[in-house]
Amino acid sequence: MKARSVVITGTRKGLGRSLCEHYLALGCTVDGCSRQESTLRHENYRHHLVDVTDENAIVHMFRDIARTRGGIDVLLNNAGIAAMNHVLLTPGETARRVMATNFLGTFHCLREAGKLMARRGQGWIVNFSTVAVPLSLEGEAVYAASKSAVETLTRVAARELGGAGVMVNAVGPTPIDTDLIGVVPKAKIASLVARQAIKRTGEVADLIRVVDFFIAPDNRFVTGQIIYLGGVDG
Amino acid sequence: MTPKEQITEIVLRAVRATGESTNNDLLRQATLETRLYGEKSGLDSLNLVNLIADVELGVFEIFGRDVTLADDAAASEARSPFRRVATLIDYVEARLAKPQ
Repeated sequence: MKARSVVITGTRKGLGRSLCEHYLALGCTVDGCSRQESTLRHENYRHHLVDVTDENAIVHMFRDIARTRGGIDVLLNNAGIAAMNHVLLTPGETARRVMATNFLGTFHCLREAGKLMARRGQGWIVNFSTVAVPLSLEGEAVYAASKSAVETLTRVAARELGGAGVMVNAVGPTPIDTDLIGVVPKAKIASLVARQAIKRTGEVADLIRVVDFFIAPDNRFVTGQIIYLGGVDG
Repeated sequence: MTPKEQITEIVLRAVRATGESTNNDLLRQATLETRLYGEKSGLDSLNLVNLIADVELGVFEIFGRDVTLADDAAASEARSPFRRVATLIDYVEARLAKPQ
């Protein structure tokens, strides 16, 4: 059986890196991207130096991957940046940067992968949200708003691409111990965890379990869904 | 072959291939006047998207250019560049004329 072709954005470190290692270990070919070089070396891994906000660069990357791999089976739209600040103290430039990476970056990749998948009549896309959306977390107005946009994109794209056999879903992790939350005060994390049904920070394996479920080759009927970890009620 | 003739070939080949895959005789025998958008085309939105993706790939193969044929007027039957084969060819030509 031909190895599945997986594309993961934001793979230099954190969750993206862990997802790469997981799918490489399962025998998939993986194309990753980030704005900086990766230290990951594997015969089935290729790294693309690309900023997801750069539309032309993303178009080129997906055409290159499609040609090299013969198609794309899975897209994991992991690339994202966080910003914590009171809404009244957040600079406009920060809001633009967060929206550009989290929403526009996800949109660019979904559009290009979606075209390639629709032509083949199948594909699995997983976008990344956060529990900050359903919890309306104070201090994360811009970050949560950008991920709300990702959730709406997920639901609408699922309807538009469902007929082409392309499943589009999203996962909303709780805080996981990665660089993204490294700067968040411990008390803030503790108060967030207290609002979950299961009161602990997440682990990468928790997230991978949901992604594996969404992208299973026999998943042909679960689409447009947002799954939050930790028992957070969406 | 002029660039316009090359674009015409890319677009007509993609339209006729879409006609084959959708069992649509009008598209199989497509000419410049063949409608691509609206009820008379016989193409649903997904087939149209696949056709556009085919044209983008054809342009990439022949011209080595990464054009994205997305347009705000795409969903307008009156103004969409995707309404007929000829308007799609003109649109691709205009996109290629823009510097990357």
